[in-house]
Amino acid sequence: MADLGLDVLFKGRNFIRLLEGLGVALRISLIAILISIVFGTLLGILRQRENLLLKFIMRLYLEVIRILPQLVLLFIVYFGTTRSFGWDLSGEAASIIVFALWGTAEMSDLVRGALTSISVHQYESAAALGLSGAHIYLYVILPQAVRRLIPLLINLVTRMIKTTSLVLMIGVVEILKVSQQIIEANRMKSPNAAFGVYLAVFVLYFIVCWPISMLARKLEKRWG
Amino acid sequence: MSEAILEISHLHKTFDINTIIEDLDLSVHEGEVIVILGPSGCGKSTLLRCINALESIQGGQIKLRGETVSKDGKNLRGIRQKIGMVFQNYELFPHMTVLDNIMLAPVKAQGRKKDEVREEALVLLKRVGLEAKAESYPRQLSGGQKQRTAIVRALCTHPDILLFDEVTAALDPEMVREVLEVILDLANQGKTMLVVTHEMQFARAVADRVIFLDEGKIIEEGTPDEFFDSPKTDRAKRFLNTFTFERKSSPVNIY
Amino acid sequence: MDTQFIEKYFPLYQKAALLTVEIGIIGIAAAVIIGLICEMIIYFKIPVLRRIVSVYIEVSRNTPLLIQLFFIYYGFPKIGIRTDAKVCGAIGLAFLGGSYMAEAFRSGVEAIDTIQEESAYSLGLSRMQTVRYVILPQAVTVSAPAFIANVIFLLKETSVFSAISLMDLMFTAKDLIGLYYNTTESLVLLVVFYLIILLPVSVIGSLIERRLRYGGSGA
Repeated sequence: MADLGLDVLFKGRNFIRLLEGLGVALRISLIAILISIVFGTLLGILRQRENLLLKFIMRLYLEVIRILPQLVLLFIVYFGTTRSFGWDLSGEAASIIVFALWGTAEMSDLVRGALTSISVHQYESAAALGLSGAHIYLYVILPQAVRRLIPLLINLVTRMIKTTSLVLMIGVVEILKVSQQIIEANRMKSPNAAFGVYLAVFVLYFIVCWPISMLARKLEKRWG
Repeated sequence: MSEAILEISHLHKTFDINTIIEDLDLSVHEGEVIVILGPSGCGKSTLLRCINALESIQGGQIKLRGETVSKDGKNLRGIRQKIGMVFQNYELFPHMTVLDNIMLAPVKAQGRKKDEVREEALVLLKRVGLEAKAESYPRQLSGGQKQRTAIVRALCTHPDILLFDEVTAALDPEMVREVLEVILDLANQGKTMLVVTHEMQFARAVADRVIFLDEGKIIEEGTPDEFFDSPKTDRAKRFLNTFTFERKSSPVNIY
Repeated sequence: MDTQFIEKYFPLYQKAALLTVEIGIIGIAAAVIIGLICEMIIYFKIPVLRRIVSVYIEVSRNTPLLIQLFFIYYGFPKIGIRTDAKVCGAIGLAFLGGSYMAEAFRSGVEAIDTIQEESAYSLGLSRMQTVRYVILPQAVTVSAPAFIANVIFLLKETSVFSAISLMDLMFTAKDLIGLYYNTTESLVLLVVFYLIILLPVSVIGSLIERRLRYGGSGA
């Protein structure tokens, strides 16, 4: 059996360091997703309003955020704004800003989709029973919308986690950066460390994302 | 009476633990029109689906002109071409025109010449009053027009027997007649047919023989006059009663 | 804005964009083929292969492209599998995209009622004929929006290629920012070139979606 460079993983604190690196990526995802849920829900509900200007602005925001690769957005915020505004933004802060902006856009679209997917007849039949506007939302619309929303939201979480791997490119020390450091430090003793370490990173990401995807699918099946 | 085209013996069909059809025998003769009646869930649609091998069977035999019909039998495609089936929701192919829908099987499955099939299709379309719709897509047709197209599609493979599975159940009331008239016309031409329907008047008019099915078994069988005027079993009487209404003389307020 | 800078480095971006498009097209084409094969294996319920396909789909969908590329480009040579950066980029994109395309096709096929299949069978069509004339034409229409969304997604994903030292748009922009500090100009060029690549696809996508919604092929 060829040397797969797996031994490096178990040397010293290497594996713990990898996990810490993954923790950084997950922390960024978590903060960004929480912000996205709050603002995305708000914007999603606002997009229901029949205000043309509001609709136009929201649409513009959504399209601009969506058409550009997230990495380009990261570059703009990290390199662009620090230069133009002269402030000192850490890579992690820039990442959270970008992923929150992106997540908010996606989330608002999911919320809007969930709300509009409920047929007009549901509103009408609830109104015909004499329910008030608030009651219609509380008892009839929201329970249905939330069921449609939650699997999609969970999917957004996995997309967010996968996307945060990009922060390496603006110098945040996360799992890939740690990997590079470990491989570099062991280049003499374990020349094949690159295989073992990147395999470990690959597997770790899968272990994090896969259960979340499965949960989303399960809920989708149960509530679909 | 002429020879039996379709012969079903000891047919047994189960879904998991539920028995849908139990030890059913039936022979259908050339030119005969059999109407199958029964409450919903009695197995009448399943029976038609078994005859076309859309369902696997757990016991017994179905033979079309001596050839066994089975889901994993040898000449399944050939046999299916000899059995025309019309479904409740038409099941036209939405991406094809009326004419392409009709020509698909004769050209692709039977390898017949396009021109010849087109000519026949147009004749049949004319007969059901749809010659102007040959190039239309299904979405441009009314329900009744769709169902008439589906009937022509089934006819164009020259089947020995036609199966109609509640073909008017999805139609608006004013379109039911145009479809039933086409089926009556086919009956008058001497086509062999098995018809599942809830239209009692039509059943009486079109049937040579009525079969009453309940819980997967044939409960009663006879000419339409016998069945509708003097049903022998209680179950058949109760079933026929569900189609008549009387206003009670002293209404009871249920509120 | 330093227009001289923009003029000077425009060709560099042009070259980088062409590289992105080239690898993108090859990778996406391969992804479509992989996706079709996977969907056929699932549809015809081919034993063993079916298992492999579902494992592949899970792995591919639950790992980031960047990690996949690192593994293939830096890890694989250690066990004797060496790939050129361009090839590696295309392989990574195909590996990622194959599962997304398979899902798009699957949702298209699943959207078609089984009774459509049955009515084709009842006319005497064979399984292959049913797929060819009845299932596929309808599935393609249904999955078109998801297909276009995948194409856009995959084109955007190409932005990580600079991590395996491909001189793509991101690489060029980062390089110029590092060398000359013309941050604004470099970023403007970056955005403009990505829009040139992505906007047409996006517009085509919304046109198709609109046509499907209003033209409809509903029964």
